[in-house]
Amino acid sequence: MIWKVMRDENLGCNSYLLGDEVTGTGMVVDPLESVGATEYIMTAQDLGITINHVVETHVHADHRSGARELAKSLGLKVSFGARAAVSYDFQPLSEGQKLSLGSVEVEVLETPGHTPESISLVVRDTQRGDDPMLVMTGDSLFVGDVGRPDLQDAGDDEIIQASRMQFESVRKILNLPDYTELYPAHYGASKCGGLFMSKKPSSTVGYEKKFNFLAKISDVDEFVDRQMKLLKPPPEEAREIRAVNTGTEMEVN
Amino acid sequence: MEGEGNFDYNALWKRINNGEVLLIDTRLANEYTKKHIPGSVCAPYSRSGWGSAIASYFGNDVGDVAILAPNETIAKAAQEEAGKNGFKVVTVISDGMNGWESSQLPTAEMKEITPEDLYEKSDDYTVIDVRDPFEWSSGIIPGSLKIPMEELPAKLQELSKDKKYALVCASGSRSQSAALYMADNGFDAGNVIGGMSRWLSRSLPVEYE
Repeated sequence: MIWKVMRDENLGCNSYLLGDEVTGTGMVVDPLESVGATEYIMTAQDLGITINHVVETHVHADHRSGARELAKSLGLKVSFGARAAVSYDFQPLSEGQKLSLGSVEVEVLETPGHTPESISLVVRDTQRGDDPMLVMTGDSLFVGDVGRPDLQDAGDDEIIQASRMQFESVRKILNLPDYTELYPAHYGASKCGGLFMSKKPSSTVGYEKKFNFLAKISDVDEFVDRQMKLLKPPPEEAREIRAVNTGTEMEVN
Repeated sequence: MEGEGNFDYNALWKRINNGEVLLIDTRLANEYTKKHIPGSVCAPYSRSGWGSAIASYFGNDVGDVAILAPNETIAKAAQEEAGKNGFKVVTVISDGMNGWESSQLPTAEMKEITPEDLYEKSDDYTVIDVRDPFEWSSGIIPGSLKIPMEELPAKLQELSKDKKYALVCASGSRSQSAALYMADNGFDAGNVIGGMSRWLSRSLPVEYE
């Protein structure tokens, strides 16, 4: 199995290139504009895999996505959770759907909350075993923190609703085996998390279950209450960045 | 150029057949193996010294060169690298095999067989294990012919063009070259993807020497 983390340390963003070296099939998750389409294509070629899927875990509100440019360079469509409100044509993914990369299998979990279309991707290396090996959680569950529910320009009621969904989504991720490696879309510096986000870019399900301040709360009302108390101003330009990433605005600046 | 629109594949095909142009396929080896233009050479593009590698392999006085790439990004990089290393690039195809296939010109293809498929259809295939003899102690697929890679050319005449062969090594890499070599020599040969590593990890039956 090929697994390559490609990050932007200034933005605190993780993106992932994965695939199966035997069949030469691969996937990029949450590609970054700052890394650039060429870098993903060339890295995949050097590792001996072709990029067959370009997947976004959700519409990002804090940084510009490189998904559309990458997909276009490869003659592919970007894949999104089916509920994504983007203006361009995308490949919808829904709960339980499996994408096969040779012996590497990627299963879609719908994990709404941070955004309605948020998904997490559970990866199995079937050459080694049938159980989950790792999960890419987007902005649903971070190392030390969970995704904030308030970046949709929503009112208070909607934010509370989103927070309740976030609670369920976190539970869903934490139902994976404890040893499952956890790879979120952000770490450290990112504005999509809160007070507790770790500078460490990856963790395990078991560790977060035990020590993640918000994720270990077992009561939904307490979770929502905590999350509401931790709200902070949205990142500057969140609206503009979302507009670029959803294709509703051609270009900002 | 660019493998689209009015590109004249027939003219290129003629030039390849007449030996007037060397077609370098920059796609990954397993893409090449699945389907390629007969007579093209497999030289997967990589950022680490691809240009100097092909220059030392072919010499750069080979005359006209055509490049086939899986996308524009790699097409551009390969063209530049080849140019820097003294090759005269006359044609660049940047849409992989798409344009070629729609022009209905000949292709060379090689099958891929998963260990699971091979196990289920074991009566249909004759397995050739191309690993080195010391590797056979980890177990061989029952009934395999044991022909180390370097002995394969000499043994070809003992093999039958009426049989279906499945080639296996440790990981599926050497057997890919071997199957391709057999296919280019007119045999019905497929590569067992994942090789003995996948066969063994699936607990499929093996016999020991």
